[in-house]
Amino acid sequence: MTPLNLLPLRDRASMWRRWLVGSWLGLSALGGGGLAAWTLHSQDASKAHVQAEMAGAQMQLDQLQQQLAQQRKVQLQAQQTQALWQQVQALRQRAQRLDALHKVTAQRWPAGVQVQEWRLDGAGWRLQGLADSGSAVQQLLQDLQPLGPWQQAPAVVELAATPALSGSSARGLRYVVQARWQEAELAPQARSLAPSPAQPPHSVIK
Amino acid sequence: MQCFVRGWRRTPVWLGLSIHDQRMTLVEWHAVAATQAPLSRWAQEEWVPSTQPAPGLWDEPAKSGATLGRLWQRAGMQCRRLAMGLPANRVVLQTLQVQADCPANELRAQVNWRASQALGLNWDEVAFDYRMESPDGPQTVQWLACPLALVQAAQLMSRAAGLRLQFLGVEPAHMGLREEKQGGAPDLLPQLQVACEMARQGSQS
Repeated sequence: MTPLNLLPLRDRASMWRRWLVGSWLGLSALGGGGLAAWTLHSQDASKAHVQAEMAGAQMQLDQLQQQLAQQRKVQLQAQQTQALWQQVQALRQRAQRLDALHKVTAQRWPAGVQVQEWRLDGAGWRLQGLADSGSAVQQLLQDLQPLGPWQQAPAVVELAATPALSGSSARGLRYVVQARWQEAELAPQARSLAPSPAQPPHSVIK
Repeated sequence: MQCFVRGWRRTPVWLGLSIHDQRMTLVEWHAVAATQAPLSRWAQEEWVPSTQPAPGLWDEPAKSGATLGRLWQRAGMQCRRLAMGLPANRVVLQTLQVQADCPANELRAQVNWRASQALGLNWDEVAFDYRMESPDGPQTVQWLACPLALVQAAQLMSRAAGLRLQFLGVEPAHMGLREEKQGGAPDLLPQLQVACEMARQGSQS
């Protein structure tokens, strides 16, 4: 049986024990809460750190993708420039060849071979005119031979006698010579840079 | 945590105090097994009254507290948990019959009223405690009361000595403290027994 105690409740030993236990439980709860809060805080900090790292990695990935797109754009521009340069080179070469062809025909004209029509179709060309004789046409072919390389060597596709007109010279052979130079294949981009189909596919000089 | 558990399971130590006439006996009491000595330290102090008739403990609690503090320091005691008892002639111990379904606050009010009536004091001038004598039998309540001034004097004395008074009971009357020898001074052994008994009751409170 518990002894009778005349002290107020707050001063008794049982109250001291309860206060001690309560304090201990309170401190334990406080410590537990603090530990839980610290754990949550550290988890949040770790989560924020990971999220920051992910955001940084994503930003770096975006930058790399942008740089890659830029590089592809530059590469495409370089390819287009290269194709354009190749086309310019091809046109220059074609111009040089035509110039040489013009010189050769000019040497033969008007003596022996007369050029009436000069039709160009890309690397191919076609000459049509009047010649005094077949040997003159043959001489013309020999003079044209060094202007290659040829994909299709200069050849006579038509040689026929024409009726003599009044007051004209003695030329009586109508000839047609055609050939095609050998050129490197142009890139697709270069094709797109070529003249549009609305323009005539070939030029005719008369 | 282990330190707390060790301290919690440690054997409780109490100080038991017995004061009679101008002699104060203080013991340090351990609630241990019967094979071990429960009494580790004890000391006794006797003082000469400055006036005649000699004032009691309850008349000069601060002075008695200073004496108690010196006694505690001289004995080299560590414990500050104090248990002491009031003389049986300064308290009222009675019983009360209550109904089985009496609420706790009603029971407390009844004891408070009866104590104030028995002591001839106002209801807020008494200190009391009560307990059920037999929980399984009829609802008989045993209650103990004394003037609140006595409790306050005991607390003041304890604070003056630097101790914590945690139990204030009633000294056992059967130990013959009132039987003085021919020389006038009480015997040493009964005072030691009373001090140990108060410490034991304190450990059970």
